[in-house]
Amino acid sequence: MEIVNKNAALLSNFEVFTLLKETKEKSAQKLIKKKNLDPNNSNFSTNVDKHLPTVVYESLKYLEKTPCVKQSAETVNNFLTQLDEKFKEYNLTKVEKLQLLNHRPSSAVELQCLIEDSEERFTIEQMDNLLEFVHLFDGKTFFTIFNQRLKFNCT
Amino acid sequence: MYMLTEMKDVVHVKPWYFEQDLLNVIEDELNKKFANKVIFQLGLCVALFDIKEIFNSTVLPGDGSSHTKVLFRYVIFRPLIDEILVGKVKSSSREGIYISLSFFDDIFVPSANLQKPFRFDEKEQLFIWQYDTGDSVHDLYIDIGEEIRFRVVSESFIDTTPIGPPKKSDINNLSISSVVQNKDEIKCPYMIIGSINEPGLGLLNWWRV
Repeated sequence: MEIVNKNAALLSNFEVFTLLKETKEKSAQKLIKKKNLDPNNSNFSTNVDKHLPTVVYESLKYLEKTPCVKQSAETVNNFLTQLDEKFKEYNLTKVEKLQLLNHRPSSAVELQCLIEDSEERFTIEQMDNLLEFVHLFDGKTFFTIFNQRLKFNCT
Repeated sequence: MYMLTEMKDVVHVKPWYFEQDLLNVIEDELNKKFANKVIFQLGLCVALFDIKEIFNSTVLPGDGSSHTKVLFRYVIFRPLIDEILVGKVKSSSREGIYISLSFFDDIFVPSANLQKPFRFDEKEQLFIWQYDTGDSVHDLYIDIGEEIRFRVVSESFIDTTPIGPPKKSDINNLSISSVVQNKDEIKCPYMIIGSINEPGLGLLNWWRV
């Protein structure tokens, strides 16, 4: 076995979650096919591998409790592009953006943990803006949420 | 938390799988070989991501199976240093607490990396963070089964490939008891050391607004 590229890409929890669901589907389909082709085969269970189903099941069980369950390819894309647009001057690293996507922090303390040296890099107001965006983002544009806030302030 | 690694390996396809589609067989064989296993200095292999290239298959003399070199990408679990993760407290002892993500169990937070000041309750075998609010000191227990947020401080890989039986010259020096002891030592191939010594880390319900 040869490792060609140790770190070809970083994956978000959402991508792994999607992949694992597909893998589970494929295995279920293969099992059904096997049973249909040879229903009387007594050797059926001897070659069943337990490692892949175990890790898939446990990983899905873990990921189902994270925010990635509610994400879709579109929302992830929107989130990252808007993070780049609205918060360009923040200079967030790739890893920090990934952690924001995976955790979706809901409090300032959580945000401070995820972002390195946040007290030195940003003011409290900047942190609040970032927190609001990350926590409230639900696939819609930030502009819509901002507009709603304006409406509340005006009335 | 997860990364993609590109690898090249030879897949042996047994003759009784020749009637099946080669792609399916290769996928199954790769998952059978790597899933849920730790590769030294790489991480825990989770699942096959995709196959990039399948090279020509060869048949070797005296062996009916075909050997195919495959270039593929695999999803590897390997948290980065200083990454934040959320897990469940599995058990605790005087040395520290053990945390588990359901698919990965070997995460250890040594007592030195707990929120200070703390004390260890011998009767319940649990750690307590003595949180001082100014007026009073609250005893916050680190209970088993609770969700906990921690930072990855370091990782350690141990090569667990078998080393074979002890050499003849060593047998005379080794007593029976020491040989038996070596067998009982279960070495952990991939272990993560964590820390909760920061505001925001520790049990989730400590910081819930």
